[in-house]
Amino acid sequence: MAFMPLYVLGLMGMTRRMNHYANPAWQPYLIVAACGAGIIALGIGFMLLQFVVSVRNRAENRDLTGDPWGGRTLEWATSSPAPFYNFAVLPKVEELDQFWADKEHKRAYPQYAHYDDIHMPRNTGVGLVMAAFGTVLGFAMVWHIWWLAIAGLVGMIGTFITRVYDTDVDYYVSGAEVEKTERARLVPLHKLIENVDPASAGQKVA
Amino acid sequence: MSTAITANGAVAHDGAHEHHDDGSKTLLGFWIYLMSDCLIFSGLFATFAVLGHATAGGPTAKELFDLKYVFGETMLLLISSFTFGLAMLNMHAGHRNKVIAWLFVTFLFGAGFVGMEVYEFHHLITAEQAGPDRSAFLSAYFGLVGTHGLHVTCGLIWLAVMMHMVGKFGLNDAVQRRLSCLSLFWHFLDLVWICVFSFVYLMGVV
Repeated sequence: MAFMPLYVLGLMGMTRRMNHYANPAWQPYLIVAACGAGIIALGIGFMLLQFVVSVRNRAENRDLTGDPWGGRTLEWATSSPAPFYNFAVLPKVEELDQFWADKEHKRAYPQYAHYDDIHMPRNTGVGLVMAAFGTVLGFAMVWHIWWLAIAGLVGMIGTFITRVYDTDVDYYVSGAEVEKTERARLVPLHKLIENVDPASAGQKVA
Repeated sequence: MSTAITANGAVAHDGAHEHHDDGSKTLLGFWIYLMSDCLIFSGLFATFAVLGHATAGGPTAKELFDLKYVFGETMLLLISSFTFGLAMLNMHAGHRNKVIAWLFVTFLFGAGFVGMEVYEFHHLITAEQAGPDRSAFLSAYFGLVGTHGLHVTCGLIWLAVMMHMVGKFGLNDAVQRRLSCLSLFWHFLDLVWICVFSFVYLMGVV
């Protein structure tokens, strides 16, 4: 409603950014477009209202399950936000909607007596440093500052080569730490959903 | 929810030790990179095919190219691919010093190729007054052959780093994985050069 009339107007010869127009044939289309713009403005207004309400009522709407919409697939099975290691134990997928099936059979949110160490990649700031040198390179190329361009390029390649020599790129999260994190989430969660239909647990306790 | 607790640690064990990278995923990813590089070169070849005769009254391929000289470049690159193959054979046999030696030979041939190409470009631009701004044909020529030359230059930097890494770390998993990727890269560049030699130089002179 806002943009389709403008496409028609464009085909009728109207250009962008005029300070006036004198063609009466454009008028009906512009009125329709103005109504469309009003509807878009309403939409933006309601979105802002949504932000206000969400921030104001955040305590009572807080989601503890990680599954506020009664999701069907495994991305809803972890906490929200997900732990840094994602899944404590790799889920076994036997169905199209694995998480839904787990909830139906009351085996969602499993707690294990033992957790293995999890192999993790180490975080690195190299990407950011390379991007900074890349920005220098781009700026220098735009303004023809050749010495700076060479410095940026050498910096990028040098940072990358330095990273290649870094052998300390991974580590293990200990099973004990995984267990602690999982228990902190699962123990209160099991209390919450004990008397609720698991399939809709998320909606009812949220 | 004690039913969800399994005392069997072996269940939680499943898959936990499959995170070790055997390098196969890296090699697959590198193949995908090479295919995307293939797209870049196919675009440049298509450009050259379209613009190859648009000389704008300037010199033609027949007047500019010296087949004997280019054949020399080609031989350098072909031999360097062969010596890289010898380096890879020695890598699989575990002969660390021979790997470094053959990589060094490969580096010399590659550097010879880049040196000859730089001289060729310099000669075209200064002596023949046939720089990339002379005609669409020469823009396409410098774009295509220059892109290949930049790839070989990157390969040379990579070769130098790998020689040092083999000396420093020995032939560990990461070094072998990277040498395998570089090998693919080097042979790929050889293949692209065969196409450049055939389509740009041979067909240009005939």
